[in-house]
Order: sequence, then structure tokens, then C-alpha cells
Amino acid sequence: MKAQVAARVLALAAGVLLSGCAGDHTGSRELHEQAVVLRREVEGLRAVVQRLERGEPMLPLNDVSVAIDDTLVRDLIGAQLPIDIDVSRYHLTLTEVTVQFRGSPVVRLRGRLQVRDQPSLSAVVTLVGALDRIAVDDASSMLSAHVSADHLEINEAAGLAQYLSVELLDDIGRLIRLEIADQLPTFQIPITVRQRIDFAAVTDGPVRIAGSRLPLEVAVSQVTAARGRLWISVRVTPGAFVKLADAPAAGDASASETGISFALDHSPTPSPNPARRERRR
Amino acid sequence: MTRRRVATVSVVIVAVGALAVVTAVRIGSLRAGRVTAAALRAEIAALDSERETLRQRLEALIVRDPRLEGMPDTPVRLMVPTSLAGDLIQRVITGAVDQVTLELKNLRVRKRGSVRKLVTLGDYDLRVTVNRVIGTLKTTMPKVIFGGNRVALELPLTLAAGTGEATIAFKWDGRNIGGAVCGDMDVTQSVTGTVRPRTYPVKAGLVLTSTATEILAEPRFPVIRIQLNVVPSAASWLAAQKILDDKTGVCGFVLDRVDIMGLVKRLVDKGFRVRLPTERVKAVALPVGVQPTMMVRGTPVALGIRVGGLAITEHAIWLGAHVSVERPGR
Repeated sequence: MKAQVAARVLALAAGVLLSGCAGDHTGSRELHEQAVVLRREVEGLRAVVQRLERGEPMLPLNDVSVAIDDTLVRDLIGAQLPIDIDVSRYHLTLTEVTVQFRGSPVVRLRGRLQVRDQPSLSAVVTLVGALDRIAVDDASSMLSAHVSADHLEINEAAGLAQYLSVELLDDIGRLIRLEIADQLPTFQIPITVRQRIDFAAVTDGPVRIAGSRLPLEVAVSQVTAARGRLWISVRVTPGAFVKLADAPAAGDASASETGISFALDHSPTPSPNPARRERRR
Repeated sequence: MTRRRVATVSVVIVAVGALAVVTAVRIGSLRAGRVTAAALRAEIAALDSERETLRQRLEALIVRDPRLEGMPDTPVRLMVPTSLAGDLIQRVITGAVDQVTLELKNLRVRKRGSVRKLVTLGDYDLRVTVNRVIGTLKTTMPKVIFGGNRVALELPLTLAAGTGEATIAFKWDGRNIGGAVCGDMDVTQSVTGTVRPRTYPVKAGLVLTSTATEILAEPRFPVIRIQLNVVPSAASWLAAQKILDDKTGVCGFVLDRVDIMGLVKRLVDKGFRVRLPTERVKAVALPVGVQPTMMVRGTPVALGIRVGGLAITEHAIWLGAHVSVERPGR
């Protein structure tokens, strides 16, 4: 009990001490989030405008494109929740998600941050990031994506944490954000981009078709977020057709099957053969 | 205050001091790069202004992309440009045709008869065994034309190369009549040759259909019959002919009447007819589709998928789908 009290006093005192070091950061938490989202949106718009200014189409000309509404992506990420991550002495639980596809694929995850050995020290957190590292998974051929962590905002602190300064909470948020960047799970987007087209070996009568494969090299070429929709373009580059397996051996052919016979070619009594006679002379 | 309390308070004060120093050092490095609220406001204002400019520029630049025509109004839309689909179709057809081999084995043809000169001189039995004829198919890039839900294909199907080997077996059972005798005769000779190349123009099609998860291209080929003709090699043909020509007397007369090589030549000239089993060619899925399950925290979860329509235009093939996610444990 004494140890717990001491720890609380310790955390509070540290917060108070550090709060004194803060400069002019009034209202900076909302501003940070706003700036993060705006930076991404502007970056996305710049990329699209630059492409169009170069005379390129919005979507790559020969690439497969997949468009997914933000509501579905929200549900796909939502299915992965809650996400529990331990960082240092903190435990982060993310339980809600919102997505916004406007210039960039912004993702907001909300949840709660707790000091692991002091559960009463907790706060509501919002992780602002974006869909990142969208790729075709080699093993499953499915699209997958990662959520990058751009900004972690701590608000609605409860318990003694509410006495900590905004700046200290921001700094803790930064520390946690850096730590969890690689711990956020990759999630699947249920779109398959096949990496090969296969043909089974077939033997039918005298026709043998060997098993073969057209390999396809697939790679995400562009990601654009616009008007509530995420456009993922995938470049599909066919390789060289390869034979995989011989077809089963053909059976014996029949004359009737191939339409061959002497039947129509001979007269009942063969006629003399002048050519042969000529050769013998 | 007891000594013990004094000690505890001292420990707490020292610990607070130490923690403050350690945390300050750690956080100090983060704060070094931190901007003030004023700086953030200025950045936001600048970004806001740039966003507005970019939006206006985008509206001015964006030209209606013909590929977007026919786009279904569903939460998931898959688009395959016809340029890519055409390229894949061409590669698949040329590649698949290259894998086709026509192989006739142990095909037996037989002719029996009698030779008469006033009376029956004897009976013959001519057997031709096609030991093996093998030919391969080739094609060049087919012409692919998109229209409606159908893709028209025009391709030259060429019986490109091959070889053949046959055995001619002639048996004669002579009848001893009036001293003019050609007794039993048994001649066996192999003949080899090469397959005569031949090209067949083929008009076929692919019908594009969709399931809830993929776009299928179903082949529609007419009945294709390939004529397999073997051109005997001059050397083997002459060798066979010489053996028969060397027979003289009544036997020579018999062979003269039967005209074995003439019969074989007509047989060979007629060739072998082979029907391609085009009905065995399965529908091919275009390389993008909706996956009916996804992994959620290590567990496969089935998705609700409802097809939202297939649209084929000159520039793009679209498949729309409604996809719903059931969260596990709910």
C-alpha cells in the first residue's frame, strides 16, 4: 500500500516537475492531430496533381485497380480490434476505429492507455495514422496493409494522470507512438491478386495438353485515397509460360476415331500397277 | 516523526529527483524537435491553403477517364483494363496451344483380299500399323476484340511439326494351281516420315461471366478437326518399294496387282483426322478477385459477399461486390 502511494506521488511529482519545463503549447494536442492529417492529405493531393500535370492518368493505364469504400476498410480493421500492445510500463488497448479517405487513407484508432502496475492511472488515447505498406502477400496472394502511427494523443486522463501537464502527456504519447510503430498488426484486405494462372494436364484421346503455368509478377504500383474510396493499383506483369507436367500418355488410337481406313480406297480386284511395271523394266 | 518515516520520505524525495532527471533527459530529446502551438497554427494555415489550391488544380486537370465508365456502385470494385486482359488472353492462348501434342499410337489398318487371274491365285493380308505419329500445335498472337460480355478471338492454329513411323506388313497365301505358283510371302518394312505443316484459321470466343468472387473467361471454341498428314521420307519409301520390286514371276504379278505401295500412299495421303477436345479447356479466372475469407487474429473469418454486377466496356472489365465482415465472437 505504501509502495503504491509512493509510486503515485512519484509519478505526480515528476509530472509536476516536468510541467514546469513546458513552453507555449496551449491546445497543441488538437493542432498536432490536425497538422498530421493535413500533411498526409496535402501530400496525397500533391502526388495526384503532379501525376496529372505530367499527363498521366489518375490510375495507371495497364494496372488492375481495386476500389474499396472507407466503411468497409473501417470494418476490416474493426474486426481486428481490440488491439492490445504492451509498451514499456504501459498497456495500450485500441478498441475503436474510424477511417477517412480524403487525399490520404487516414486511420484513427481510439482506446485506453494504462500504467501496467497502476491500472487507476489511465487515459483515453487516439492514435492517428494512415494505411501504409499496402502490398500483395506472397503466401496468400491477398492484399495486406499496415497502419502507420503518425501521432498518439493522450486525453481524458483519469486518476492522478489528470494532474500531469499536457506537454508531459504529449511526450509520453510520442514515446509510446515510436515504440508501437512496429507492433501494430498487419491486416488483410480480402482481395486476391493471383500470382499465376495454372492449367492442369489433360489427355483426351490422341490429344495431350501438358500442365502449364503463366507466372504473374504482381506489385502494388499506386495507392490513392479520394472521395471516401481507396484506390489500390496493382501492376501485373506476365512472365514466360512454363510447362509444369507432361500430360498422361495417350492410349492406342483407333482407325474409326481418326477416320482412316482402306475401305474407300480400293476396288475389289486391284488393278494392274503400271508404275511398278515401269520401275521393274 | 520516527526514524523510519524520515528514511521513507528521504527515499521518495531522492527517487523523485532521480526520476525527474532521467525522464527530463529522455523527453528533452523529443522536445528539442517539438514545435510550438503558434508554429503548428501557421503550418496548418499554410497546409489548408495549399490543399485548397491543389483541390482546384485537381478539378481543372482531371479528365474523365474512359476506364471509369461502367464502374459499379458497390463498396468493392475490381477493374481490369481491357489492354491487360487482352495481353493475358493472348499469352494464355499462345502458351496453352504450345502445350498441345497430337499423338497417334498403334493405329492399325488392315486390308485383305484375293488376287485372281482366271482363277484365284491366293489371298493377301495387308496390315499397316501406325506405330506413332506425333505432331505439335502452335499459334501466333491471336487477335482479341472486346465487345459486350464476349471477347472475340481470331487465331491461326498451325500443326507445326512432327514425325511418323509405320510398319507395313504384307502376307501372301498362294494357292498351288497349275504350277504357276507364288507360295507364301511375308514382307515387313518400316516407313518413316514427317508431319506436313498445315494452318487452320480459327474463330473462337470467350464469354465473360462472374461469380461473387471472380471474373471468369469461359472459352467457346468451334469443333476443330486437325488433319494429320505424314510425308514419308524418300529413303524409307524407296527401301520399301525396292523390296517389293525385287519380287519377280507370279509373286511379282501378285504384288503388281495388289499395288501395296499405292494403297499405302493413298492411306497416307488421306491422313488422320484428330478432333481437339476444346470442351476440356476450362474457364480461366482473371487475376483479381474477392477472397471469401480473411484471417482475423489468427482465425479464418468468412465474409459475406454479394455480387454487385459485371460490366464490360471497350476499356475496362468491372466487377462490383458487397462485402460484409462479421466480427469473430459477435
